[in-house]
Amino acid sequence: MSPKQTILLVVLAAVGVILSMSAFVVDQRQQTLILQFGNPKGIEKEAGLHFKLPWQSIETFDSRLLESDAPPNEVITKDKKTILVDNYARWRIIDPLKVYQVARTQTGVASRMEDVVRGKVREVLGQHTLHEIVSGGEKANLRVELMQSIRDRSDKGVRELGLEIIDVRIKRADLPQENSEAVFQRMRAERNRIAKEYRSEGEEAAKEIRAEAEKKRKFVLADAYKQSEILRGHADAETTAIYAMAYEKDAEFYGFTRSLEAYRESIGEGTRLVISPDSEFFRFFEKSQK
Amino acid sequence: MPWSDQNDSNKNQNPWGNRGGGDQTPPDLDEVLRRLQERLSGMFGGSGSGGDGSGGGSGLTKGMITGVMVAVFLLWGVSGFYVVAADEEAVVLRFGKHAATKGPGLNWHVPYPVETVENLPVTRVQRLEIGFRSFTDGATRKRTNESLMLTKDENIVDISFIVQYKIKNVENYLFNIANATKTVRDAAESAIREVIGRTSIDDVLTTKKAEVEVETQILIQSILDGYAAGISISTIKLQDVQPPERVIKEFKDVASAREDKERAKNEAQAYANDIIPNARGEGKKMVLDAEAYANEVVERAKGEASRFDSLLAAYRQAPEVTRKRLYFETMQDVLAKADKVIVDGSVAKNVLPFLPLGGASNKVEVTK
Repeated sequence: MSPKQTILLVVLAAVGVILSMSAFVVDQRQQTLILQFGNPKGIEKEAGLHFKLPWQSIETFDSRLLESDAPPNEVITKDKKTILVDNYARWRIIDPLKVYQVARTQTGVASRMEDVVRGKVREVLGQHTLHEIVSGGEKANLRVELMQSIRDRSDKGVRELGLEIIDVRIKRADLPQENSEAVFQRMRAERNRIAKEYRSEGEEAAKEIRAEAEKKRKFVLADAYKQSEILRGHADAETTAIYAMAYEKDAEFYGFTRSLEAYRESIGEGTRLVISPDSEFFRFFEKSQK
Repeated sequence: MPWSDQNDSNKNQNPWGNRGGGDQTPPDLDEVLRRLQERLSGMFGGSGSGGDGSGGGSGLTKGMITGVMVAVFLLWGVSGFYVVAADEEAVVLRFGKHAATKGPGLNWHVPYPVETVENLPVTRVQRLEIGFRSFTDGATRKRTNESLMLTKDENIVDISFIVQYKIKNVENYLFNIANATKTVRDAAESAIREVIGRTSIDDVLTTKKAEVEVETQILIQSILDGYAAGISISTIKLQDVQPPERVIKEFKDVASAREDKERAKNEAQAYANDIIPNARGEGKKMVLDAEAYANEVVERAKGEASRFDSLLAAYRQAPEVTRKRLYFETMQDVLAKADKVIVDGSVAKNVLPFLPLGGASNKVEVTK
């Protein structure tokens, strides 16, 4: 190996090593803290290829919106009841230096942040009664207000950790077991009441419909009766007039024929007549000459 | 990074050199370049000139080194090819920075470590199940810790639903949020509870499902937009909305009570529908009967009047005889049918009280 070649090689190797130790890439999803023997020297948030001094090291943090979903958390309400609150937070690292100083890593700072949020959830919800938290109480959007308030307080609380909190939301606010049982009891009672109401409403409606029908029926029949009586009356009057007009022509003869007819109709089989032979019918019964 | 590759080839030089047959001296740079040229032209010409050249061991070694370098370079270059599927977009990151967005097809990027590629399913609708999970064999399992929620009137309702979403903005989706699925899931769970918390259980169970879907969709979207998540919610579909298992019996009873109510009404209506037409029929019959009666009596009267008129006219022709004839004819008919007791006027007073008036003895004829 000629000296010229050796030098070239050594130089190339040295350049390569130094370059590989100095260059670093910042992903658009990350931000980087530059440390010199553990001392923070700078922050690089711009994505791309960057250079540092070879003896400096880097610590990488996420720059995206991060999730945090801690396990459900017991909260004592203003009326001294316990509820189980499951909330989540969306947060972001805004100052990697602070994060590094207080917790070194992202995971470490996340648990610190969760502690803060948990505290604020307790603090805010503790000022309200169970009823208000669960169903908003009098105010329609109390839930939204509560979440807003928790968010604001948490955000203030985590600034010293180098973080910001974009959102805190309550996923669930569950009643403890014994309260759930009470809710179920109440739901059952309420359903029973509603069922009864429906059934009696049905009765009511049915009775009304039937009565209404009866009424209509009576109306119809009464009207028909009235009409028929009027018709009969007119007919009777007319009949009477006809008879009167005819029979008036000879009232005596009418009496005679009508009597005869009446005898014919009224005296039938089985009628027993006790007759005197003096009657006109028997005028010739005993002797042929008068 | 070119320098690191140069490092690699430098490291590789010794083993290759040893294997090649003893010449420890590396070629100087000019020599390397010349050899590379030769080798390339030789490769295109057919068999490598280095192989049968006069250089012997040294020539062979140098040829192999350059060959390996070229192969490594080519391999590195080839590793930059990538395919983007029809429903995807590819985001090219140059040293971690968003450099380009590529559509479907075969693409090439400057290989690692200069550029990297992230494929994102941009037009694919992604699906999220909340309150239940379905498995590949078609079975589903409830997740009551997700599905049970409180309504406005402090009832508990069991709701499971599906969220469908798409990537709206690749840049935001990739660079602004970590764990998109979890972000959507959390927002959806929070949103539905907020919406249900504003709605009464009866509305949730019956008429307001569509409204709940719409409100939830709007709320999730606004939460996600607040995060600049680059996600758009396509639909919220409520799957199962029912009372919790513990009280389902009572809810079913309410449903059957509601049916009972309708049934009672319908039965009453059926009764009404039966009796009213009946009454109308009866009424019409009464009127018609009356009309018939009226007609009948009037016509009869007219007939009888006419008969009397005629009779009277005939009678006036011969009153005495007609009168007698009518009388006797009638009496004959009447007396023919009746039982007769003929008693003389003088004895009548004595006999009459003793006459057997019952029907036992017939035809008692007493004559004087």
